[in-house]
Amino acid sequence: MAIKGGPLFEVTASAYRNGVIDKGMALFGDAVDGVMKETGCEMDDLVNKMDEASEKTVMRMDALLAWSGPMIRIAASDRLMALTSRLLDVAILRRLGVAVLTRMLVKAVTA
Amino acid sequence: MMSPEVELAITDEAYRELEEAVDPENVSREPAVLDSYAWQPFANDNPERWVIRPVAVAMPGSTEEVQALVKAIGRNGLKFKAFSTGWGAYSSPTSEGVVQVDLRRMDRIIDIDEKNMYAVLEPYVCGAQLQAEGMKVGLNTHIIGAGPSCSILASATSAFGVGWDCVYMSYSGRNLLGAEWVLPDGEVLRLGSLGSGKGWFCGDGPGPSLRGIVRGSTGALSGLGIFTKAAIKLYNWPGPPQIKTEGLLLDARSEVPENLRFCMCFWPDRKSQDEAIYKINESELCYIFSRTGLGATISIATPHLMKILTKTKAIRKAVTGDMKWGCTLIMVADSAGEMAYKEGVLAEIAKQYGGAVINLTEAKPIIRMFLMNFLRSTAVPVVFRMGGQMFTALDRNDTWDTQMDWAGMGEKVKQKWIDRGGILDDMADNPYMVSYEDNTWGHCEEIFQYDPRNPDHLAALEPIFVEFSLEAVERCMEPLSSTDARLRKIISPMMGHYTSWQQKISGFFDRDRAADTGMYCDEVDFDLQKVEPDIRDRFEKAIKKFSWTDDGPPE
Repeated sequence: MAIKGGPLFEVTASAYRNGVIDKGMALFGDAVDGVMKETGCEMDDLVNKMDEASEKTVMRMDALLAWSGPMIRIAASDRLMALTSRLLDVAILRRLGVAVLTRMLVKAVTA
Repeated sequence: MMSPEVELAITDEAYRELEEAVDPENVSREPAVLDSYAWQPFANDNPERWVIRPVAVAMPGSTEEVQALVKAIGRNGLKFKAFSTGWGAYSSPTSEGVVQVDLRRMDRIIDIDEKNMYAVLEPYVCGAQLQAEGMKVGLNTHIIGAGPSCSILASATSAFGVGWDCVYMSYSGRNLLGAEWVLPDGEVLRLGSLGSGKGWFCGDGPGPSLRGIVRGSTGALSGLGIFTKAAIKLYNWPGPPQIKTEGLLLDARSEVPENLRFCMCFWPDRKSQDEAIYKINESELCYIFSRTGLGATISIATPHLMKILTKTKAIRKAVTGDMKWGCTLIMVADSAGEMAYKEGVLAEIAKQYGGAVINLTEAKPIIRMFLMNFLRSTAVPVVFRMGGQMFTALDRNDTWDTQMDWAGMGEKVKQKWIDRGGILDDMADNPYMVSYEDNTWGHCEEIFQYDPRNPDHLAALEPIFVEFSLEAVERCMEPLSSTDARLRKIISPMMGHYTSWQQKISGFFDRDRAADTGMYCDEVDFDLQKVEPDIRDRFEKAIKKFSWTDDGPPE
């Protein structure tokens, strides 16, 4: 019988099994490159921005994570991850994903 | 600061002899110069105290000058302590009347033997220097966890030797292929094949090897003389002759070699993790391998954020629970085919043990930043960011399972002291773990961070040290004791009275007591008054239970 880890681990494991992590890492890298190009920031600037996150922001994220248990369990579904993986094979969706992620990160960095 | 008596500890005559040994411009007794050596807050349990100021500093430029210097020091009733590149208080005097022998002028890589894969070098050659030169000819060197600015020779002959690359490039003492050793009386001893005039290829023999005496558990930290040259085993480097890099630490941008993968692996529980790590090692996949808690990574990269994260509940649970069991590795290969094979094996292991592999190589900006921080162990200084200081609790190298037990115990002890406000909160799970030689044995240090400006933290240092030592003793492990003359005295009876043997070895090599042996064999009493009574009681019970008698080890 497969051993179950914690909910976040299960999401990660499912994403890995279905190829979402490999595809997602490349998209994430492109998005970070995009942020660096758009904002003129280097990696250390981005890390330092993250380091400067306010307590209010962090606590909001903590609350979000605390309340997202059911969503995390759904996200850990192999079917959903397999679908996500297939969607990430579509070039236009990949480009869209990078654009959205870049926009979100730029907003966070320049806030 | 120093008393007037100490400031006059070196006579004009003795000082003149030092000048004759190494040339006047390479000797100093200027207080400001001496204090630049005495400022060593790391591994010093009281940073306000500094370390003991040397009476003079001398910088020899050759083996002959080291010999002349050591003889002059002995003639004048002084002691010597060698300093290669230095790492905290370990390279500092432990008593009054010590001349600091700073070896920075001996900074040459004498030879890189490409065919036989070794380098001959002097004490001030650091890891980064040797790695850069080695890579030009397809070779690489083991770099210890203290970082690439540390002396390769010092860690191979005289001090600790663990690092992230141990999985592929072993432990410093095991890479020693011969050494030139200036004994405390100034005579030179050449070890291994070098001693028979046959070159540097073998560090042992002919006949009985002296490597055990040189190294012991961790090396004598200059307590048995000064090593002036060493041959160090090098390993295959399948990457380019130079990894072009700009920037430093978190600002680094490196060109990533094609056949290199940087992966973080996570596992559902400890058992799966341990079994998977054994499999990964058996399969000889890794060039770099480490297990570090996710919290530790966050605390060194984003220390301010970490202080806020410790107040969270869900995130803390995710970091210390859901994503607790993991490891980080770098794989390299000579060809795309070999890399594909390694990736396939890793995927198979992940499948077998229900794990997840995050291949960060695909996230280009991240890997560009991380690459040399791991490959050259450059990231180490950032561990000082959170509080200004850190220290560590380790047992001796042992099987991976045993080391995981140590990590678990360390987390508990740390959590107790975090709750008491004795150390900084880094979510407690902060082990520095590596595995050795694609094998089943490994290393674990439980890192803790503190603020030396905080009196509560300073007051907690000694009790924490004692508590970790007790936990090691109760598990029949060797605590971090070699450099602490007080703890050596306590644990020696439980370890075959090893200090009496070290004293005999020291007596044989150093009849005039010219070496500073405070980190080797001059034991002193440990005042355990600062320690909680129940810890003291447990220690006394352990001593009674585990001490050797004249007939041998306890039942």
